Amino acid sequence: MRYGFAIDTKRCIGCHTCSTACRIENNLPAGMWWNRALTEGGAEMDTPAGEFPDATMSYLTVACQHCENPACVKVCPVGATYKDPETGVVRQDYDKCIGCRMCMSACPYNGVRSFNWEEPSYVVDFAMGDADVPPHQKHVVEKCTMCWHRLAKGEEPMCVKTCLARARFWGDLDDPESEVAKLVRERSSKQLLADEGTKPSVYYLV
Amino acid sequence: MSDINNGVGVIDDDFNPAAAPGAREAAGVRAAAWGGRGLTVAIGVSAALAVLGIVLWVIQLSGGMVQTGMRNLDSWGLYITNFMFFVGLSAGGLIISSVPKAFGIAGFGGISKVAVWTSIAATVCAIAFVVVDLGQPMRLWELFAYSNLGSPLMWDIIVLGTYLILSCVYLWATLQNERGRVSATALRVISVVALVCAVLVHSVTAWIFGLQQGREMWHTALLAPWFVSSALVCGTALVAIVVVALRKAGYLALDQANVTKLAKLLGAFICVDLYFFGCDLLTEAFPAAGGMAVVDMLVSGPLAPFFWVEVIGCVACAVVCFTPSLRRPGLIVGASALAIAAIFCKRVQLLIGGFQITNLEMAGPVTPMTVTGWESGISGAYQGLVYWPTMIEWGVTLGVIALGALILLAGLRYLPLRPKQD
Amino acid sequence: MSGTNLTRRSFLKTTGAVAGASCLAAGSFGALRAFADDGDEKPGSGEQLFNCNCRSNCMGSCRLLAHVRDGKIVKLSPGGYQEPGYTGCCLKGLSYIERIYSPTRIQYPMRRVDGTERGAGQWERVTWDEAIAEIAQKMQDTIDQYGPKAIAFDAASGNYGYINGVYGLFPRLAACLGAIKTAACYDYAAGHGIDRVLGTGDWQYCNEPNSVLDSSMVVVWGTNPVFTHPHSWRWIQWAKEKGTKVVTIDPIKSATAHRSDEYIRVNPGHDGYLALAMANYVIEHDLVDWDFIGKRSNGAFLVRQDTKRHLSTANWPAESAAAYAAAVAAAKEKYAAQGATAVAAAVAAIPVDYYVWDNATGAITLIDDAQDPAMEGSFSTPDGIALDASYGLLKEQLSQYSIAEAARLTGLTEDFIVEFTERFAAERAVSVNITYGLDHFLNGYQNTWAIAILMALTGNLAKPGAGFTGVFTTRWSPETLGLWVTKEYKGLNATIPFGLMPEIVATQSLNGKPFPMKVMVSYCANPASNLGGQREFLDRLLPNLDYYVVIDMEMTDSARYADMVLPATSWYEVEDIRAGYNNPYTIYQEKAIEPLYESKPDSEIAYLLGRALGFEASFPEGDGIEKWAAILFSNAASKAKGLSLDRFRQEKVIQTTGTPGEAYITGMTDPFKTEKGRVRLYTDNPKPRLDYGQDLSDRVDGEHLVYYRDPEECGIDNPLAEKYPLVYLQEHSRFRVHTQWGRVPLLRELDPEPLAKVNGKDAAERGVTTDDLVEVYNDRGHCVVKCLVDESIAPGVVSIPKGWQRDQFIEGGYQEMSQPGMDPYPSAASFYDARVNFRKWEA
Repeated sequence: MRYGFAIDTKRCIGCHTCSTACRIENNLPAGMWWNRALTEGGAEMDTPAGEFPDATMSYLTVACQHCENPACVKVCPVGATYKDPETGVVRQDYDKCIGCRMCMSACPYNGVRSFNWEEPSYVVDFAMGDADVPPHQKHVVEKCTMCWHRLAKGEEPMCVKTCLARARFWGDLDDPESEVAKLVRERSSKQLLADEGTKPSVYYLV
Repeated sequence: MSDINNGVGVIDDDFNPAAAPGAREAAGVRAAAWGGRGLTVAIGVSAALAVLGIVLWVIQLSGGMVQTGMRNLDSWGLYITNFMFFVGLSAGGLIISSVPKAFGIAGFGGISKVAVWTSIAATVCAIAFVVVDLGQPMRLWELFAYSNLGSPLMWDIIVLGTYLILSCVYLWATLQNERGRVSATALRVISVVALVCAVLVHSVTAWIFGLQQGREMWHTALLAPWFVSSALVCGTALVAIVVVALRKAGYLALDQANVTKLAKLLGAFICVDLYFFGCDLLTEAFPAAGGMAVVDMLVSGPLAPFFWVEVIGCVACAVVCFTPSLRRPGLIVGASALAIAAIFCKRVQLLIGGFQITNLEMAGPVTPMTVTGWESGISGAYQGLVYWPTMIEWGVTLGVIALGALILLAGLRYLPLRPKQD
Repeated sequence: MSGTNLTRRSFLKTTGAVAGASCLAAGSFGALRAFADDGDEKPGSGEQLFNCNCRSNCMGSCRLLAHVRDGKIVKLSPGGYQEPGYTGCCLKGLSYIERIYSPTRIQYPMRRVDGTERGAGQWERVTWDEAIAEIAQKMQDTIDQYGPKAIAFDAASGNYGYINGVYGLFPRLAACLGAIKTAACYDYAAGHGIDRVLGTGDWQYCNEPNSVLDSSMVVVWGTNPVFTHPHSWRWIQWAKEKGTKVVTIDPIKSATAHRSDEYIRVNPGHDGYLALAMANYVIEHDLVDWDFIGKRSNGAFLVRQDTKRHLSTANWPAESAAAYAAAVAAAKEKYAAQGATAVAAAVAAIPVDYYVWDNATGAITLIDDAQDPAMEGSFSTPDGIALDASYGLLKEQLSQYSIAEAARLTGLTEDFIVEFTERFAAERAVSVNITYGLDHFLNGYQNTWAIAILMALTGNLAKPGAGFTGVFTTRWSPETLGLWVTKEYKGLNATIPFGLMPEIVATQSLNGKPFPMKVMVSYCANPASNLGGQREFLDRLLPNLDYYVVIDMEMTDSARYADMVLPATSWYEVEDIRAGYNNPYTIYQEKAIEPLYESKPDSEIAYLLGRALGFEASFPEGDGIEKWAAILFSNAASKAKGLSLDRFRQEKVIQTTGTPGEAYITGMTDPFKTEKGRVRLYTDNPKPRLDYGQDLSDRVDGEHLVYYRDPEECGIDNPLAEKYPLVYLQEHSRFRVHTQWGRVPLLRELDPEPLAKVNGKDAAERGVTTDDLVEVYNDRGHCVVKCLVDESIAPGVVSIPKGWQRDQFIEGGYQEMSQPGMDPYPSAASFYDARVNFRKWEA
């Protein structure tokens, strides 16, 4: 199995609902976003490139690409980040991580990995999100887990569930009958930093 | 000049075989107790600063690394910069000292022990810089329990550890050789191994950066040879400073010709280093495509001060090294310091440069965990330097350097590092 | 109707499968949503799920499941609707948890410390008993001295629950007191203008969102669904994927414009003229949909020149008129006891028929009897009453609106306007998607009136895929009036628009006559932040108000300036019911968690206050949701659908408008509530939305036929443009609904601070760039904010996104500069009808 995503950029409106759902589901600490809606356009969020009225703007949501050839897995000295052979999910073992941040240097997708630079702090005094999410630890690296705790229960990642534009599709890229495989086959798509050779498992339908 | 001799400074006219051990001991004690109050004070200060560094490190760990200037988009900083730098210093020092022995050629007048000890101190610093950069240093043991042997960082841990041990063995072997207990051949073998290890150490350190295709500035095959050449520059320069200073302090005698040799070698290494730099710049600039971002960043962008200090500093140093009339001890020390500063600037360029250019330029949410200058949004983050150290980083850095200084000075005081006296 | 017979089990089943059977156009969006798992979230370990919904004024009304663990809501997930195309939630709804547990939440009643300034932030804690007693005492003293109308209960749009929201129990208290229940005045212009044509009242003009799937073109006019109502946008996007053309008309290139097939840029404030010129062109070039005009409009109705009213059985001939008058008198007598609204409804129910000129017979006949009604021409009754056909009057009225002037005012080229008009008229079915961009000007209602006329002339009404969309509201209403009228009913004075309050309080008069106004209670409202021209509230209203009570979850601007602040519960801490916006459902809210701290539901606060004021009969012990729901569902409309609290508790969601699998079309699914169910090319009886005694005698004659009027301030010809060259918009943001969600930490990470969005040219002219601090100002006020150069903004426009409170600005506040004026017909806030300038700000 090779779980991956197809994200329809024609539908994506960069609303941050997926990011917010992820943030709450995984009880992310203050200041941390595993998934971010990025603006393809101007220098600031929600601004376009070019000049009015010919300016253009679109959105890409970017989280860990769960690459087939991940740069991060190669360099982690203790194997805290590793690729699950069955599902293809690139996972992170918080207990093993020594906080060397080599993976953050290696990953070409700047910003998808986050380090807990301080004791994780929260707005509320109880854990939000799913009870099965591993607790966050100070001074280790984190990133999108593809909602592993939900996959374990036969549920899809939270970002896919909550996308209000119905732009996110997820499934087994190796299964030709899966929705995601069909979309990648039938629609034009692009991948982020395809030249890097990391073979990301996220396809942006264009 | 540095004949390999069987003793340590034994005065010949009283040669009494029976008394030799006692005299030798006395001489050793004398050597071990070198240095007056000045050295004592220096050792004390180094120790104090090292302790302060440890305290700050504990503060960093308990209060969180958020107290540093590093954040998600610039996840390495002063510590890893210094790690690179000190590996370079140490590798350079060892190469300088082991090459003559390895090739059986004339060396630099018996300074090799001092050079090796300097190198060992630098190695300790390098390892310490990695440790203080770790988020979970208590999990260091995992490096040996769960080692991912495919990781360049793992290779570096192995090689650095090996290198540290090997440096100590080399020093011991040198001492033993001087006492006639280790043969010249054996020493030569060890020195060859040490040399290879030194080259490997810095190559592997380079590969931590150079093998990452994700960072434009880092991903070049040239990086390993280039690190070695930079190591030779700063290592040689450090050795030159140390031995000239020790000569001034009366710790050892050193023929000026040897210093000149060192200086000329330094000059040559600078030429090689600048040659590599030029190759890299040209390769990045020529297509006038993606690589231009790197060139612009260095030549006129946020890293320009570091770039120009390096280039001008190196050139100035080379001029001093190659101009006979300028090869005076004071100027040589000055030029060497400039070379060391230049190489430090090179490390800064590389470290910050790797993070200064982003692969995903698109604007997105920026929080205090993303960059320190988060209030200005994503474009603001990259306008100036994406990273600058905070006070605690300077403090810990000072502490580690002080630790290295402590090792060096204590070694000078207590270890038989002086060149064998004629 | 039988679609409402869902059992709980079948509803919670895989909604995907249900959708497949009932989805609108075969194979459309049903196939577009296939998830690895389907349907609602299952409870995680240790979790209990509660059925909930979002109740803000965001056009969403999403159903949410609250996941509760150890008595705390740990997450919210979107709850499925029978039609899965309506299922969804946004970042705001999901992050509501951070509002519930926010440290900024008001925990207990607080009184402003005696002797301190309002807004100084000096509070002392009081018990509920003390607070209620004090408020009751203040109210009673006021009533004793000035009468009950010196007390105003002010609600806006903070909460649409029937029990604890703007409709809730406070109007019952106001009615017992005979106090003023101010009328909200946000977003009323759009409906007022459309009502002139469709008779759809304030809110019922839109088709169901899914109707766009049947449109050949969607014109998004003055609204930005990508940001502000993405659940609406989802349908438009699906339509786009099936080939529907999507066009956005907007003064700025909104996020929606970026996603549209075509972006039409217009100068703000003159859209009405564009529509009128287009309508004129349609008539002049014979592009009128005569089938629609003939069968579905009142174009043939005759208009009496003497009264400007239609010739009808109510006024001609004499015997018929007399009979009608008698019927009216009888109705008044019969229903007088039940109040003005009941009387009006009874009078409206008296059947009236309308006359046309039948060309076939050359005589005046009732419309249904005519064979060939005349659309144009002047005629007269046998007894000499001069008459004109309505269509002809409209045609003459429209003839003054030229393409050339439309081009000048809007900035479009004449060729383009012509081409667009021809396209518009040729389209099979056009949906015009609006919310309130067009509305927020003093000529707001004329804007939408003109568009409605254009749609009528081109036949884009009352058929699949045609009409207005964007604010689809329930066509079923519960018995809210019954909830408010008890035996102790004294009077429900609900006609004073809140926008007049600063003037009333400052002058203690209305319409030139004394009107003491001393006490105000704001609930589900934040007028200090949201009223246009904020200084009116701060400098005129506040200083002259004796006593101000605010009920809220957080210290909003209004709460800061109050004398007494009462903590309200969040939406998840109460049981409630709301009818959805932009979906055809009414959704039940289960109480998911206990009220936090000392907060109380609005209904309970009204209950306590009511009893403290002596109205135990109207607020009896044991009063609660069971009793209130029983009243709400007691009307015929509710009974027809078999609604009850029990049923809601069981089924959680009930479709209360339209039919599953179909799209509700205004004027098609149900007839227009107009004269003979026909759209009005001529408006017989134009009335102001609210009658607060204003004198409109000099305007009424001009309100029968659509006309163009310049905006008050922002128009291109306005002399104010010299001093204040930029039009001031306050675009609505995806991160807030008005001021709600304005302090949610995770949203603030995404949108940290207020910004003045300006075009690069305007910024360069003033020597500023992104991140510079700028002062945006006009004669009404100023604010200091960070500048953002944004090429979505047209030159000549400044936009400061809405919803920031005063303490979030470096100086001043963005609401100071907006337009406080209102037109007395719609009594609608006209925020964007304002001009400003900006400059670099030195500290």
